[in-house]
Amino acid sequence: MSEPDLSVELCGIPLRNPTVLASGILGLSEDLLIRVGESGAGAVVTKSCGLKPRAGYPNPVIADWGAGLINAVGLSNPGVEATAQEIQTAKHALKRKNIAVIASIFAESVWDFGTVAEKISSAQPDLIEVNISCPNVEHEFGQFFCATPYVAAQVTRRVKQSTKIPIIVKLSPNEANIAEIAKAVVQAGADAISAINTLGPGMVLDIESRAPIISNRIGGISGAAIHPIAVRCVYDIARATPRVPLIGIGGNATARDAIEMIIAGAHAVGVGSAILSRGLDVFDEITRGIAEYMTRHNYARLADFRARVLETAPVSGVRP
Amino acid sequence: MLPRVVKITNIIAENPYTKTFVLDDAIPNAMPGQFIMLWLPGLDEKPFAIVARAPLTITVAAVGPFSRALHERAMGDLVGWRGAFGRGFDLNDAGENLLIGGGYGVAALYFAASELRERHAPVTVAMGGRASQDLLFENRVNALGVNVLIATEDGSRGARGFVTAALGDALTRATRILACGPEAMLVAVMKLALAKNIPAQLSVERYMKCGFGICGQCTLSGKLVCQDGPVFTATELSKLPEFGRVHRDASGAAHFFQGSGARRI
Repeated sequence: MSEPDLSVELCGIPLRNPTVLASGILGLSEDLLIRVGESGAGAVVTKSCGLKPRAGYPNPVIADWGAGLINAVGLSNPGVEATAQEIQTAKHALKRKNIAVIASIFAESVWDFGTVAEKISSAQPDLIEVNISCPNVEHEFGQFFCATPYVAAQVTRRVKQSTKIPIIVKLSPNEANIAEIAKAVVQAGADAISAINTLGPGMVLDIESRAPIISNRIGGISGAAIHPIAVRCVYDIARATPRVPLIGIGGNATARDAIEMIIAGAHAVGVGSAILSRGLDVFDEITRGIAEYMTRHNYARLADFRARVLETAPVSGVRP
Repeated sequence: MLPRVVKITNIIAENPYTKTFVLDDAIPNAMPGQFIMLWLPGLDEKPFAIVARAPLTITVAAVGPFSRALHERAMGDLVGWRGAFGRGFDLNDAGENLLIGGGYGVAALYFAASELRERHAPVTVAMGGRASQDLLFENRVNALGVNVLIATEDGSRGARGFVTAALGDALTRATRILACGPEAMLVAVMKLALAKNIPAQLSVERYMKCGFGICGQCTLSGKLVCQDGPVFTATELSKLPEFGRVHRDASGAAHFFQGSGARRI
Protein backbone atom coordinates (compact mmCIF):
# COMPACT_ATOMS: atom_id res chain seq x y z
CA MET A 1 0.00 0.00 0.00
CA SER A 2 1.22 3.50 -0.79
CA GLU A 3 2.02 6.11 1.87
CA PRO A 4 -1.12 7.28 3.69
CA ASP A 5 -2.31 10.74 2.72
CA LEU A 6 -2.27 13.03 5.77
CA SER A 7 -3.27 16.17 3.95
CA VAL A 8 -6.51 17.87 4.80
CA GLU A 9 -8.43 20.82 3.43
CA LEU A 10 -9.93 23.43 5.74
CA CYS A 11 -12.41 25.71 3.95
CA GLY A 12 -10.48 25.33 0.71
CA ILE A 13 -7.08 25.84 2.36
CA PRO A 14 -4.86 22.78 1.92
CA LEU A 15 -2.78 21.63 4.92
CA ARG A 16 0.07 19.16 4.39
CA ASN A 17 -0.81 17.46 7.69
CA PRO A 18 -3.55 17.95 10.30
CA THR A 19 -1.44 19.46 13.09
CA VAL A 20 -2.11 23.09 13.95
CA LEU A 21 -0.21 25.33 16.38
CA ALA A 22 -2.90 26.44 18.86
CA SER A 23 -3.42 30.14 19.48
CA GLY A 24 -1.55 31.74 22.36
CA ILE A 25 1.43 29.43 22.17
CA LEU A 26 4.58 30.93 20.60
CA GLY A 27 2.63 32.71 17.84
CA LEU A 28 3.85 36.14 18.91
CA SER A 29 6.15 37.05 16.03
CA GLU A 30 6.66 36.26 12.37
CA ASP A 31 9.95 34.50 13.16
CA LEU A 32 8.27 32.19 15.67
CA LEU A 33 5.34 31.41 13.34
CA ILE A 34 7.86 30.49 10.65
CA ARG A 35 9.93 28.42 13.08
CA VAL A 36 6.91 26.41 14.24
CA GLY A 37 5.74 25.95 10.64
CA GLU A 38 9.16 24.74 9.59
CA SER A 39 9.31 22.37 12.56
CA GLY A 40 6.38 20.39 11.14
CA ALA A 41 3.00 22.05 11.81
CA GLY A 42 0.42 21.98 9.02
CA ALA A 43 -0.88 25.40 10.06
CA VAL A 44 0.04 28.03 12.62
CA VAL A 45 -2.30 30.32 14.54
CA THR A 46 -1.20 33.70 15.84
CA LYS A 47 -1.73 34.89 19.39
CA SER A 48 -5.13 36.61 19.51
CA CYS A 49 -4.94 40.24 18.52
CA GLY A 50 -7.41 43.00 19.29
CA LEU A 51 -8.06 46.56 18.24
CA LYS A 52 -5.39 48.13 20.46
CA PRO A 53 -2.10 46.96 22.05
CA ARG A 54 -2.52 45.34 25.47
CA ALA A 55 0.25 44.58 27.95
CA GLY A 56 -1.81 41.85 29.63
CA TYR A 57 -1.55 40.90 33.30
CA PRO A 58 1.59 40.96 35.45
CA ASN A 59 3.49 37.69 35.86
CA PRO A 60 2.96 34.88 36.57
CA VAL A 61 0.52 34.58 33.67
CA ILE A 62 1.03 30.87 33.25
CA ALA A 63 1.98 28.06 35.60
CA ASP A 64 2.64 24.36 35.28
CA TRP A 65 0.71 22.77 38.16
CA GLY A 66 1.69 19.20 37.42
CA ALA A 67 -1.13 17.73 35.33
CA GLY A 68 -1.53 20.68 33.00
CA LEU A 69 -1.16 24.43 32.77
CA ILE A 70 -3.18 27.30 34.15
CA ASN A 71 -3.01 30.62 32.33
CA ALA A 72 -4.47 34.08 32.34
CA VAL A 73 -2.27 36.16 30.09
CA GLY A 74 -4.79 38.97 29.78
CA LEU A 75 -4.91 38.91 25.96
CA SER A 76 -1.59 40.70 25.64
CA ASN A 77 -0.99 41.63 22.02
CA PRO A 78 0.64 44.42 20.04
CA GLY A 79 -2.64 45.36 18.31
CA VAL A 80 -4.15 44.33 14.99
CA GLU A 81 -1.93 46.57 12.83
CA ALA A 82 1.34 45.13 14.22
CA THR A 83 -0.05 41.60 14.05
CA ALA A 84 -1.10 42.12 10.44
CA GLN A 85 2.50 43.00 9.57
CA GLU A 86 3.82 39.89 11.31
CA ILE A 87 1.27 37.76 9.43
CA GLN A 88 2.26 39.22 6.09
CA THR A 89 5.90 38.27 6.57
CA ALA A 90 5.08 34.84 8.00
CA LYS A 91 2.68 34.09 5.18
CA HIS A 92 5.24 35.02 2.57
CA ALA A 93 7.71 32.54 4.09
CA LEU A 94 5.25 29.73 4.79
CA LYS A 95 3.14 29.84 1.65
CA ARG A 96 5.83 28.15 -0.46
CA LYS A 97 5.80 25.27 2.01
CA ASN A 98 2.03 24.85 2.02
CA ILE A 99 1.75 25.85 5.66
CA ALA A 100 -1.37 27.87 6.43
CA VAL A 101 -1.29 31.00 8.58
CA ILE A 102 -4.39 31.55 10.69
CA ALA A 103 -5.02 34.91 12.37
CA SER A 104 -6.70 34.77 15.77
CA ILE A 105 -8.77 37.80 16.70
CA PHE A 106 -10.72 38.99 19.75
CA ALA A 107 -12.59 42.17 20.59
CA GLU A 108 -14.40 43.87 23.43
CA SER A 109 -17.70 44.39 21.62
CA VAL A 110 -19.63 42.70 18.82
CA TRP A 111 -18.98 45.71 16.57
CA ASP A 112 -15.21 45.71 17.24
CA PHE A 113 -14.98 42.05 16.17
CA GLY A 114 -15.89 43.22 12.67
CA THR A 115 -13.39 46.06 12.73
CA VAL A 116 -10.55 43.77 13.83
CA ALA A 117 -11.55 41.18 11.21
CA GLU A 118 -11.54 43.82 8.50
CA LYS A 119 -8.13 45.15 9.51
CA ILE A 120 -6.50 41.73 9.84
CA SER A 121 -7.85 40.75 6.42
CA SER A 122 -5.48 43.26 4.81
CA ALA A 123 -2.66 40.84 5.67
CA GLN A 124 -4.49 38.05 3.81
CA PRO A 125 -4.25 35.30 6.45
CA ASP A 126 -5.46 31.98 5.06
CA LEU A 127 -8.16 31.77 7.72
CA ILE A 128 -9.37 33.87 10.65
CA GLU A 129 -10.03 32.24 14.02
CA VAL A 130 -12.52 34.15 16.13
CA ASN A 131 -11.75 33.92 19.85
CA ILE A 132 -15.08 34.46 21.60
CA SER A 133 -13.82 33.34 25.03
CA CYS A 134 -13.37 36.91 26.22
CA PRO A 135 -15.57 39.42 28.04
CA ASN A 136 -18.08 41.70 26.32
CA VAL A 137 -17.42 45.09 27.91
CA GLU A 138 -20.86 46.29 26.80
CA HIS A 139 -22.54 43.63 28.93
CA GLU A 140 -23.41 44.68 32.48
CA PHE A 141 -21.39 41.82 33.99
CA GLY A 142 -18.81 41.44 31.22
CA GLN A 143 -20.40 38.22 30.04
CA PHE A 144 -18.23 36.24 27.62
CA PHE A 145 -19.29 36.27 23.95
CA CYS A 146 -19.26 32.47 24.00
CA ALA A 147 -21.77 32.33 26.87
CA THR A 148 -24.95 32.23 24.82
CA PRO A 149 -25.76 30.89 21.35
CA TYR A 150 -27.38 34.25 20.54
CA VAL A 151 -24.32 36.45 21.20
CA ALA A 152 -21.91 33.89 19.72
CA ALA A 153 -24.00 34.02 16.53
CA GLN A 154 -24.07 37.84 16.59
CA VAL A 155 -20.26 37.94 16.67
CA THR A 156 -20.08 35.36 13.88
CA ARG A 157 -22.43 37.37 11.64
CA ARG A 158 -20.54 40.59 12.28
CA VAL A 159 -17.18 38.97 11.40
CA LYS A 160 -18.63 37.28 8.30
CA GLN A 161 -19.94 40.65 7.07
CA SER A 162 -16.50 42.19 7.56
CA THR A 163 -14.26 39.79 5.66
CA LYS A 164 -14.16 37.48 2.65
CA ILE A 165 -11.64 35.20 4.37
CA PRO A 166 -13.16 31.98 5.78
CA ILE A 167 -13.69 32.14 9.54
CA ILE A 168 -13.25 29.59 12.29
CA VAL A 169 -15.16 30.21 15.52
CA LYS A 170 -13.33 28.88 18.59
CA LEU A 171 -15.71 27.51 21.21
CA SER A 172 -15.39 27.32 24.96
CA PRO A 173 -16.10 24.16 26.96
CA ASN A 174 -17.33 26.24 29.87
CA GLU A 175 -20.87 26.82 28.65
CA ALA A 176 -23.90 24.64 29.06
CA ASN A 177 -24.16 23.10 25.63
CA ILE A 178 -21.28 23.36 23.21
CA ALA A 179 -23.20 21.56 20.45
CA GLU A 180 -25.98 24.13 20.60
CA ILE A 181 -23.47 26.97 20.32
CA ALA A 182 -21.76 25.17 17.44
CA LYS A 183 -25.07 24.97 15.60
CA ALA A 184 -25.81 28.63 16.24
CA VAL A 185 -22.47 29.89 14.92
CA VAL A 186 -22.67 27.64 11.86
CA GLN A 187 -26.15 28.97 11.11
CA ALA A 188 -24.72 32.48 11.48
CA GLY A 189 -22.09 31.74 8.84
CA ALA A 190 -19.08 30.17 10.56
CA ASP A 191 -17.05 28.28 7.95
CA ALA A 192 -15.32 26.11 10.54
CA ILE A 193 -15.17 25.47 14.27
CA SER A 194 -12.30 24.96 16.65
CA ALA A 195 -12.78 23.53 20.11
CA ILE A 196 -11.95 23.66 22.87
CA ASN A 197 -10.56 26.80 24.42
CA THR A 198 -9.19 26.39 27.96
CA LEU A 199 -11.37 24.79 30.60
CA GLY A 200 -12.36 26.59 33.73
CA PRO A 201 -11.64 28.96 35.10
CA GLY A 202 -9.52 27.12 37.62
CA MET A 203 -7.43 28.23 40.54
CA VAL A 204 -4.06 27.10 41.90
CA LEU A 205 -2.87 28.37 45.27
CA ASP A 206 0.54 28.52 46.88
CA ILE A 207 0.07 26.99 50.31
CA GLU A 208 3.07 28.73 51.93
CA SER A 209 2.03 32.31 51.13
CA ARG A 210 -1.67 31.40 50.52
CA ALA A 211 -1.46 33.48 47.32
CA PRO A 212 -3.03 32.45 44.01
CA ILE A 213 -0.16 31.42 41.75
CA ILE A 214 -1.19 33.41 38.68
CA SER A 215 -1.65 37.15 39.00
CA ASN A 216 -5.26 37.11 37.74
CA ARG A 217 -6.04 34.60 40.57
CA ILE A 218 -8.07 32.41 38.20
CA GLY A 219 -7.24 31.14 34.76
CA GLY A 220 -7.94 28.66 32.00
CA ILE A 221 -6.75 25.07 32.33
CA SER A 222 -5.02 23.32 29.45
CA GLY A 223 -2.88 20.26 28.87
CA ALA A 224 -3.32 16.55 29.46
CA ALA A 225 -5.89 17.09 32.21
CA ILE A 226 -8.51 18.43 29.80
CA HIS A 227 -8.03 16.05 26.87
CA PRO A 228 -10.99 13.72 27.60
CA ILE A 229 -13.29 16.74 27.92
CA ALA A 230 -11.99 18.10 24.62
CA VAL A 231 -12.64 14.75 22.91
CA ARG A 232 -16.20 14.70 24.22
CA CYS A 233 -16.79 18.27 23.02
CA VAL A 234 -15.41 17.46 19.57
CA TYR A 235 -17.65 14.39 19.45
CA ASP A 236 -20.72 16.45 20.36
CA ILE A 237 -19.90 19.22 17.87
CA ALA A 238 -19.14 16.80 15.03
CA ARG A 239 -22.56 15.20 15.48
CA ALA A 240 -24.35 18.56 15.71
CA THR A 241 -22.62 20.10 12.67
CA PRO A 242 -21.38 17.12 10.66
CA ARG A 243 -20.35 18.88 7.46
CA VAL A 244 -18.37 21.66 9.11
CA PRO A 245 -14.56 21.48 9.31
CA LEU A 246 -13.52 21.08 12.93
CA ILE A 247 -10.17 21.66 14.63
CA GLY A 248 -9.96 19.57 17.79
CA ILE A 249 -7.87 21.22 20.50
CA GLY A 250 -7.23 20.34 24.13
CA GLY A 251 -4.38 18.33 25.62
CA ASN A 252 -3.12 16.85 22.36
CA ALA A 253 0.42 15.68 23.05
CA THR A 254 0.81 12.39 21.20
CA ALA A 255 -0.33 10.76 18.00
CA ARG A 256 -2.77 8.75 20.10
CA ASP A 257 -4.38 11.94 21.40
CA ALA A 258 -4.62 13.32 17.87
CA ILE A 259 -6.06 10.11 16.41
CA GLU A 260 -8.65 10.08 19.20
CA MET A 261 -9.66 13.61 18.20
CA ILE A 262 -9.98 12.64 14.54
CA ILE A 263 -12.06 9.56 15.38
CA ALA A 264 -14.29 11.83 17.47
CA GLY A 265 -14.77 14.05 14.41
CA ALA A 266 -11.87 16.49 14.07
CA HIS A 267 -10.44 17.40 10.65
CA ALA A 268 -7.33 18.92 12.18
CA VAL A 269 -5.77 18.85 15.65
CA GLY A 270 -4.48 21.80 17.65
CA VAL A 271 -1.30 21.44 19.71
CA GLY A 272 -0.38 23.92 22.42
CA SER A 273 0.60 23.06 25.97
CA ALA A 274 2.36 19.87 24.83
CA ILE A 275 5.17 21.99 23.39
CA LEU A 276 6.27 22.53 27.00
CA SER A 277 7.00 18.84 27.58
CA ARG A 278 7.73 17.64 24.04
CA GLY A 279 9.28 20.66 22.32
CA LEU A 280 8.71 21.64 18.71
CA ASP A 281 9.31 18.05 17.55
CA VAL A 282 5.78 17.32 18.77
CA PHE A 283 4.29 18.19 15.36
CA ASP A 284 6.49 15.71 13.48
CA GLU A 285 6.02 13.06 16.18
CA ILE A 286 2.24 13.34 15.92
CA THR A 287 2.28 13.30 12.11
CA ARG A 288 4.54 10.23 11.99
CA GLY A 289 2.41 8.43 14.57
CA ILE A 290 -0.80 9.11 12.63
CA ALA A 291 0.86 7.79 9.45
CA GLU A 292 1.91 4.60 11.24
CA TYR A 293 -1.60 4.12 12.59
CA MET A 294 -3.12 4.64 9.14
CA THR A 295 -0.71 2.15 7.57
CA ARG A 296 -1.52 -0.42 10.28
CA HIS A 297 -5.27 0.04 9.72
CA ASN A 298 -5.08 0.36 5.95
CA TYR A 299 -6.53 3.85 5.97
CA ALA A 300 -5.54 5.80 2.86
CA ARG A 301 -6.95 9.13 4.01
CA LEU A 302 -7.85 10.79 7.29
CA ALA A 303 -11.49 10.70 6.19
CA ASP A 304 -11.35 6.90 6.41
CA PHE A 305 -11.49 7.06 10.19
CA ARG A 306 -12.73 10.59 10.88
CA ALA A 307 -15.93 10.76 12.92
CA ARG A 308 -16.06 6.98 13.08
CA VAL A 309 -16.63 6.44 16.77
CA LEU A 310 -17.92 2.91 17.23
CA GLU A 311 -21.50 3.51 18.30
CA THR A 312 -22.22 1.69 21.52
CA ALA A 313 -25.32 2.12 23.61
CA PRO A 314 -24.75 4.07 26.84
CA VAL A 315 -25.33 1.79 29.81
CA SER A 316 -27.83 4.08 31.50
CA GLY A 317 -29.23 5.54 28.34
CA VAL A 318 -28.88 8.95 29.98
CA ARG A 319 -25.98 11.35 29.51
CA PRO A 320 -24.57 12.74 32.74
CA MET B 1 6.77 23.01 38.30
CA LEU B 2 5.07 25.44 40.69
CA PRO B 3 7.16 28.13 42.40
CA ARG B 4 8.87 27.07 45.64
CA VAL B 5 8.08 29.68 48.24
CA VAL B 6 10.90 30.15 50.75
CA LYS B 7 12.33 32.69 53.20
CA ILE B 8 14.97 35.26 52.44
CA THR B 9 17.80 34.36 54.85
CA ASN B 10 20.21 37.18 54.12
CA ILE B 11 20.28 40.51 52.28
CA ILE B 12 23.59 42.17 51.38
CA ALA B 13 23.89 45.72 50.00
CA GLU B 14 26.39 45.55 47.13
CA ASN B 15 26.33 49.13 45.89
CA PRO B 16 23.90 52.04 46.33
CA TYR B 17 21.22 50.40 44.20
CA THR B 18 22.07 46.70 44.14
CA LYS B 19 21.36 44.03 46.75
CA THR B 20 22.12 40.35 46.99
CA PHE B 21 19.35 38.06 48.28
CA VAL B 22 20.18 34.69 49.80
CA LEU B 23 17.26 32.25 49.86
CA ASP B 24 16.53 29.36 52.19
CA ASP B 25 16.87 26.86 49.36
CA ALA B 26 19.41 25.34 46.98
CA ILE B 27 19.48 24.71 43.26
CA PRO B 28 22.14 22.00 42.95
CA ASN B 29 21.99 21.40 39.20
CA ALA B 30 22.01 25.03 38.07
CA MET B 31 24.76 26.15 35.67
CA PRO B 32 26.27 29.64 35.48
CA GLY B 33 24.28 31.74 33.03
CA GLN B 34 20.99 30.03 33.84
CA PHE B 35 18.23 32.01 35.54
CA ILE B 36 15.30 31.66 37.90
CA MET B 37 11.90 33.36 37.80
CA LEU B 38 11.56 35.15 41.13
CA TRP B 39 8.00 35.70 42.35
CA LEU B 40 6.73 38.25 44.84
CA PRO B 41 3.28 36.77 45.57
CA GLY B 42 0.56 39.19 44.56
CA LEU B 43 2.93 41.51 42.69
CA ASP B 44 4.90 40.12 39.73
CA GLU B 45 7.57 37.65 38.68
CA LYS B 46 10.84 38.43 36.85
CA PRO B 47 13.92 36.55 35.62
CA PHE B 48 17.23 36.83 37.47
CA ALA B 49 20.60 35.24 36.86
CA ILE B 50 21.69 32.69 39.44
CA VAL B 51 24.69 33.89 41.44
CA ALA B 52 25.22 30.80 43.62
CA ARG B 53 23.65 27.34 43.91
CA ALA B 54 23.70 26.64 47.63
CA PRO B 55 22.22 28.57 49.16
CA LEU B 56 20.38 29.89 46.12
CA THR B 57 21.52 33.48 45.64
CA ILE B 58 20.55 36.29 43.26
CA THR B 59 21.70 39.88 42.93
CA VAL B 60 19.21 42.55 41.92
CA ALA B 61 19.60 46.19 40.92
CA ALA B 62 16.63 48.41 41.80
CA VAL B 63 15.64 49.55 38.32
CA GLY B 64 11.84 49.19 38.20
CA PRO B 65 8.74 48.66 40.36
CA PHE B 66 9.44 44.95 40.87
CA SER B 67 13.09 45.24 41.85
CA ARG B 68 12.32 48.24 44.09
CA ALA B 69 9.62 46.18 45.85
CA LEU B 70 12.09 43.34 46.28
CA HIS B 71 14.58 45.79 47.83
CA GLU B 72 11.90 46.63 50.43
CA ARG B 73 11.72 43.01 51.54
CA ALA B 74 13.37 41.98 54.81
CA MET B 75 15.07 38.84 56.02
CA GLY B 76 12.44 36.22 56.82
CA ASP B 77 10.03 37.46 54.15
CA LEU B 78 8.72 34.90 51.67
CA VAL B 79 9.57 34.87 47.97
CA GLY B 80 8.84 32.27 45.32
CA TRP B 81 11.17 30.91 42.68
CA ARG B 82 11.11 28.42 39.84
CA GLY B 83 13.95 27.25 37.62
CA ALA B 84 16.70 26.79 36.72
CA PHE B 85 15.77 27.84 33.20
CA GLY B 86 17.62 28.35 29.96
CA ARG B 87 20.97 27.50 28.46
CA GLY B 88 23.86 28.72 30.57
CA PHE B 89 27.55 29.17 29.77
CA ASP B 90 29.44 26.20 28.36
CA LEU B 91 32.51 26.01 30.60
CA ASN B 92 34.02 22.84 29.15
CA ASP B 93 37.53 22.81 27.63
CA ALA B 94 38.97 25.47 29.88
CA GLY B 95 41.52 27.81 28.30
CA GLU B 96 42.25 31.47 29.03
CA ASN B 97 38.89 32.82 30.09
CA LEU B 98 38.07 36.48 29.69
CA LEU B 99 34.83 37.43 31.45
CA ILE B 100 33.45 40.83 30.47
CA GLY B 101 30.68 42.36 32.59
CA GLY B 102 28.85 45.64 32.53
CA GLY B 103 26.70 46.91 35.41
CA TYR B 104 24.77 44.13 37.17
CA GLY B 105 25.88 41.69 34.45
CA VAL B 106 28.93 41.03 36.63
CA ALA B 107 26.72 39.06 39.04
CA ALA B 108 26.00 36.30 36.50
CA LEU B 109 29.68 36.20 35.54
CA TYR B 110 30.72 35.81 39.18
CA PHE B 111 29.03 32.38 39.23
CA ALA B 112 30.90 31.41 36.05
CA ALA B 113 34.20 32.74 37.47
CA SER B 114 33.85 30.76 40.70
CA GLU B 115 32.98 27.61 38.74
CA LEU B 116 36.02 28.09 36.46
CA ARG B 117 38.26 28.63 39.48
CA GLU B 118 37.11 25.32 40.92
CA ARG B 119 38.33 23.78 37.67
CA HIS B 120 41.64 25.66 38.11
CA ALA B 121 41.13 27.50 34.82
CA PRO B 122 42.86 30.85 34.26
CA VAL B 123 40.30 33.66 34.57
CA THR B 124 40.34 37.39 33.94
CA VAL B 125 37.27 39.39 34.90
CA ALA B 126 36.82 42.78 33.26
CA MET B 127 34.12 44.90 34.84
CA GLY B 128 32.75 48.26 33.91
CA GLY B 129 30.33 50.82 35.26
CA ARG B 130 29.52 54.48 34.87
CA ALA B 131 31.43 55.51 38.00
CA SER B 132 33.28 53.68 40.77
CA GLN B 133 30.10 53.40 42.86
CA ASP B 134 28.43 51.45 40.02
CA LEU B 135 31.03 48.68 40.07
CA LEU B 136 29.59 45.46 41.36
CA PHE B 137 31.18 42.49 43.12
CA GLU B 138 34.71 43.87 42.96
CA ASN B 139 35.59 42.38 46.36
CA ARG B 140 33.91 39.07 45.66
CA VAL B 141 35.69 38.69 42.34
CA ASN B 142 39.03 39.66 43.89
CA ALA B 143 38.48 37.01 46.58
CA LEU B 144 38.37 34.34 43.86
CA GLY B 145 42.03 35.08 43.12
CA VAL B 146 41.42 35.97 39.50
CA ASN B 147 42.91 38.75 37.41
CA VAL B 148 40.62 41.81 37.63
CA LEU B 149 40.41 44.69 35.13
CA ILE B 150 38.30 47.77 35.77
CA ALA B 151 36.94 50.57 33.62
CA THR B 152 34.58 53.43 34.48
CA GLU B 153 33.04 55.84 32.06
CA ASP B 154 33.98 58.85 34.21
CA GLY B 155 37.46 57.50 34.90
CA SER B 156 36.90 57.48 38.68
CA ARG B 157 38.29 53.92 38.83
CA GLY B 158 40.51 52.02 36.42
CA ALA B 159 40.62 52.82 32.73
CA ARG B 160 38.36 55.61 31.47
CA GLY B 161 35.64 54.46 29.09
CA PHE B 162 33.54 51.38 28.45
CA VAL B 163 34.68 48.04 29.82
CA THR B 164 36.25 47.18 26.46
CA ALA B 165 38.80 49.96 27.16
CA ALA B 166 40.26 47.91 30.01
CA LEU B 167 40.92 44.69 28.13
CA GLY B 168 44.48 45.30 26.86
CA ASP B 169 46.62 42.14 26.73
CA ALA B 170 43.87 40.02 28.21
CA LEU B 171 42.11 40.10 24.85
CA THR B 172 45.14 38.78 22.98
CA ARG B 173 45.61 35.95 25.48
CA ALA B 174 41.92 34.96 25.68
CA THR B 175 40.76 31.68 24.16
CA ARG B 176 37.21 32.16 25.38
CA ILE B 177 35.07 35.19 26.19
CA LEU B 178 32.00 35.17 28.43
CA ALA B 179 29.98 38.38 28.60
CA CYS B 180 26.95 39.76 30.39
CA GLY B 181 25.76 43.35 30.46
CA PRO B 182 23.80 46.00 28.57
CA GLU B 183 23.02 45.07 24.98
CA ALA B 184 25.19 47.89 23.53
CA MET B 185 28.13 46.39 25.42
CA LEU B 186 27.27 42.91 24.16
CA VAL B 187 27.20 44.16 20.58
CA ALA B 188 30.68 45.65 21.04
CA VAL B 189 31.97 42.41 22.58
CA MET B 190 30.40 40.33 19.80
CA LYS B 191 32.14 42.43 17.14
CA LEU B 192 35.44 42.24 19.00
CA ALA B 193 35.22 38.47 19.41
CA LEU B 194 34.30 37.87 15.79
CA ALA B 195 37.07 40.20 14.55
CA LYS B 196 39.68 38.50 16.76
CA ASN B 197 38.23 35.05 16.13
CA ILE B 198 37.81 34.29 19.85
CA PRO B 199 34.87 31.99 20.72
CA ALA B 200 32.45 34.07 22.79
CA GLN B 201 29.28 33.39 24.78
CA LEU B 202 27.02 36.32 25.59
CA SER B 203 24.04 36.47 27.93
CA VAL B 204 21.07 38.36 26.47
CA GLU B 205 18.00 39.86 28.18
CA ARG B 206 14.46 40.15 26.87
CA TYR B 207 11.04 40.72 28.50
CA MET B 208 9.92 37.33 29.79
CA LYS B 209 6.59 35.84 30.75
CA CYS B 210 6.45 32.02 30.98
CA GLY B 211 10.20 31.40 31.28
CA PHE B 212 9.84 27.88 29.86
CA GLY B 213 9.56 28.29 26.13
CA ILE B 214 5.88 28.35 25.23
CA CYS B 215 4.58 31.93 25.32
CA GLY B 216 7.03 33.36 22.76
CA GLN B 217 7.30 36.69 24.57
CA CYS B 218 11.13 36.68 24.67
CA THR B 219 11.61 35.98 20.96
CA LEU B 220 14.91 37.19 19.49
CA SER B 221 14.52 36.71 15.75
CA GLY B 222 12.69 33.44 16.44
CA LYS B 223 15.09 32.19 19.13
CA LEU B 224 13.60 31.98 22.61
CA VAL B 225 15.86 33.80 25.04
CA CYS B 226 14.34 31.81 27.95
CA GLN B 227 15.09 28.43 26.42
CA ASP B 228 17.53 28.69 23.48
CA GLY B 229 19.40 31.33 25.56
CA PRO B 230 19.87 33.44 27.54
CA VAL B 231 23.47 32.57 26.60
CA PHE B 232 24.18 32.63 22.86
CA THR B 233 27.47 32.41 20.98
CA ALA B 234 28.73 35.48 19.13
CA THR B 235 28.31 33.55 15.88
CA GLU B 236 24.65 32.79 16.70
CA LEU B 237 23.94 36.39 17.64
CA SER B 238 25.57 37.73 14.49
CA LYS B 239 22.85 35.90 12.53
CA LEU B 240 19.93 37.28 14.57
CA PRO B 241 18.86 40.61 13.03
CA GLU B 242 16.98 41.68 16.18
CA PHE B 243 20.09 41.42 18.40
CA GLY B 244 21.24 44.93 19.28
CA ARG B 245 18.31 46.44 17.43
CA VAL B 246 14.86 45.24 18.53
CA HIS B 247 13.28 44.30 21.82
CA ARG B 248 9.62 43.68 22.70
CA ASP B 249 7.44 45.08 25.47
CA ALA B 250 4.79 43.25 27.51
CA SER B 251 2.26 43.52 24.66
CA GLY B 252 4.69 41.91 22.23
CA ALA B 253 5.16 45.15 20.29
CA ALA B 254 8.63 45.53 18.82
CA HIS B 255 10.74 48.59 19.66
CA PHE B 256 14.14 49.68 18.43
CA PHE B 257 16.90 50.18 20.97
CA GLN B 258 17.89 53.82 21.14
CA GLY B 259 21.07 54.87 19.33
CA SER B 260 24.27 52.89 19.61
CA GLY B 261 25.15 54.68 22.85
CA ALA B 262 21.95 53.36 24.47
CA ARG B 263 22.39 52.14 28.00
CA ARG B 264 20.14 50.39 30.41
CA ILE B 265 19.31 51.48 33.99
